[in-house]
Amino acid sequence: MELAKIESLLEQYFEGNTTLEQEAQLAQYFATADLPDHLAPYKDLFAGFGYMRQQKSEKTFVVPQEKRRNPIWGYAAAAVIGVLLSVGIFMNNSADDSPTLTAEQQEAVEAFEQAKKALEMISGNLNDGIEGMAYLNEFDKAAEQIFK
Amino acid sequence: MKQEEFLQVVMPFKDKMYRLARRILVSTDEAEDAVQEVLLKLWKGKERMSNYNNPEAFAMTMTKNYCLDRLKSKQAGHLKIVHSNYQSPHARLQDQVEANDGVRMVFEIMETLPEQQRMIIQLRDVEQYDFDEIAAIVDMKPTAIRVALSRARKTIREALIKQYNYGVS
Repeated sequence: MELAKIESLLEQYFEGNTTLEQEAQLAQYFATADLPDHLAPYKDLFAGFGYMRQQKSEKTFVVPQEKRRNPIWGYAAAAVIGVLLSVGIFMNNSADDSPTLTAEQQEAVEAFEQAKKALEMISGNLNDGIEGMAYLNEFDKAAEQIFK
Repeated sequence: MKQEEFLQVVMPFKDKMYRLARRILVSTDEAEDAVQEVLLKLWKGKERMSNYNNPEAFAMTMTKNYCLDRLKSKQAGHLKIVHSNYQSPHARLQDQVEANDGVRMVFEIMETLPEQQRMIIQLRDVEQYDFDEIAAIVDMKPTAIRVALSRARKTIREALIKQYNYGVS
């Protein structure tokens, strides 16, 4: 490109009136041409912007994982269903014999009632424990956001 | 929007976000923290982002806002300055080993410009956005952007010519 045209483009550039295409022309000119003395400083100007354009961060930025359902709920549900089923079957079986109860059967019913109570207590405590776990998960989430 | 999709949208301009953050905050560490924070915010608002017709401008605007807020709270003294800004110009240019004095000068003068001019030079001369895009990101009228851009360019020119004459004589 002729010198006169470059000079007038440069003039426009410093007034903020050049288009992106014209600015690209200027950058290209100053990157390649053998420059007259009075234009030499501008080489560094466009080179500097070029360097800045190359800057990148080495850091890997993280985005949180998608929320997955906590497997503990699956286990808890399976356990509860299992307990309910066995209790239900047991109750059905024992209900059939209820009209005529021998002493032995009464003992068995009592034992069953006690076992049921114990199981209920355990399941109650289990649920408490599970609630605690959920709380812990919340904490983990918060911690992840801070430490990642 | 799934994580994969989100990354596909965001990855092409994450370096631009980083460079804008770095230009505003100067420190590389703080710029990285800022980009990370903004990415988390974008992820949280990802449903909104997919409605947005220009996710890049949206992300750049958020980056600018976040960094300016950081700068403000730092200047107000509410925040401890954790990262040292007292690096030598050479350290700042680790990735530009072969950069000469003039180029280094451009980096240094950039840092002395007012934030607004620094952002506009960054968006125009470094990232090559058109004036409408810049207007959307910095929330200014194109005419005001041209004025700020012209001022910033002239400031850099003066310093460069001074340096050049000094070097020659």
